[in-house]
Amino acid sequence: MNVFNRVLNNPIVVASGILPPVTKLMRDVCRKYAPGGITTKSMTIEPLQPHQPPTLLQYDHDTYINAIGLGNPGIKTLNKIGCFTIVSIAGNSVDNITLTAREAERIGDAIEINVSSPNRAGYGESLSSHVSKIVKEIKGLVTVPVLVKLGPWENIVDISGKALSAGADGLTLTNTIKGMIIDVHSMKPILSYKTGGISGRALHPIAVRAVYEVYKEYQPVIIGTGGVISWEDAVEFMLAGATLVGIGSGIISKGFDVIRKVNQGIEEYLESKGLKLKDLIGYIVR
Amino acid sequence: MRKGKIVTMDGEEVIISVRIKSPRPGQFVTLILPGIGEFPFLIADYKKGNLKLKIHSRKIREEISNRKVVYIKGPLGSPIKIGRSVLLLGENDSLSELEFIINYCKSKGIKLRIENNMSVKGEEDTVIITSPDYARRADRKRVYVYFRNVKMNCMLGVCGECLVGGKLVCKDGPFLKI
Ligand SMILES: Cc1cc2nc3c(=O)[nH]c(=O)nc-3n(C[C@H](O)[C@H](O)[C@H](O)COP(=O)(O)O)c2cc1C
Ligand code: FES
Repeated sequence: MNVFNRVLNNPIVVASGILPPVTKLMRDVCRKYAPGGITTKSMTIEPLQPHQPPTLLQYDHDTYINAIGLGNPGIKTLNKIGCFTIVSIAGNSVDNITLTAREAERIGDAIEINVSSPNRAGYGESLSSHVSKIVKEIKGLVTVPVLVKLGPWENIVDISGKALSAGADGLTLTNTIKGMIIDVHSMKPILSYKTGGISGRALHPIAVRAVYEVYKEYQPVIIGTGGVISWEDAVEFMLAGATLVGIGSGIISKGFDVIRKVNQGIEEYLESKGLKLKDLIGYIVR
Repeated sequence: MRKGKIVTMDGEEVIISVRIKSPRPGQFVTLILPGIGEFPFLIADYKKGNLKLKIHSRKIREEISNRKVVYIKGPLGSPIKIGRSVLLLGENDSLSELEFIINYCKSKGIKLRIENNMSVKGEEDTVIITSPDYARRADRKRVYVYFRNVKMNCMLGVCGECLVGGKLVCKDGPFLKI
């Protein structure tokens, strides 16, 4: 798989927030499961405490709700991983996230700007209206490719356009969508943060639609992410326009072995169709 | 996460009717009390849809006594690989939580020796130690140490809060092989 002038083993990347932000654990996953690449947890300059548990719950089959809230030990604790590494960064202001980008370049082959996490006020989603400014600042500072991660919002084509015209090299679509679950017996929200991001199976068709709409308009490099559990889900993303495919909840649900299974499924599919990976990308848009 | 109904409460022992996957020895569940929090417990027993937990904390038991419905996440963590014979080193109060492991050994005809003296050595191929304070290596043996009071957050191996010596207590533990 050729992307950003790099050759990756395969098109599957581990999505942000699935690998604990610990260098050794990320290295182990690279070595044992050989994903095309990994994305780090969204890192900030200063350490952030996660919200109080419960922060991650399975809501239904292969569907989760989480409000970990960007808890991380600070980007300075990470070292180079070894495999293709996308460093996800977050911050609570344009200046702050730009500072993080400088640190991210030290360890990453690419940077993913998280302006879409719904789980901490002031961070993530709260910065999406400043996307042009953030991308311009960071592009002026670093030499590695810069991706922008967006949520499955109604204005996704619009915001994608802003990110791309500010110079983003690609997009990760999508982050979780904000939701809520309430225990009717105690009459209390189940998550301590009250709301959380929905990921996995329930998100999948929404994320595929987002990839499709954005690809149709701009044909950028897209990492299609949301509810990939089987190889079919990954192929769907590619047909809609994704170059790479991220897996998050699928790993929580099935373990890291899902990476190998999805890759194997894609290979067999390509063989049976007599196609190459790049033939799939945006097939339904052509 | 599964909805569970409180069946009985008797001292520390709480029985919850809930449908979860069959647990293996060494695994745990979390108890979710909306508005209060999420708390990990070793599985004391699971039979015919009835989950038994031993809950030391009076505060949590009081919370439960006000509720009919709670939520259960799990079974979580990694099972202990139990050999043909087990030496279990633990002080009395820590053993009450290990009922499931003890009953498992009995039901499978696995030789089990329980010792309160933490420095006892033995011929058994599996050693389980109930507190990291007494962790020690033994030659050519499977030595598992129970990490009980480690701070956890996601309990599903993604946040990294429970890291101990390069391992995740919530996913690789709570009985970590040393
Ligand atoms: C537990 C958890 C933590 C996450 N943390 C982050 C994060 O720190 N930064 C981020 O950009 N996305 C984060 N995400 C979103 C995922 O990267 C992904 O975009 C989303 O979950 C959809 O993919 P999935 O359905 O395969 O999980 C997190 C998701 C989960 C489930
Ligand atoms: S509690 Fe989150 S990784 Fe163990």
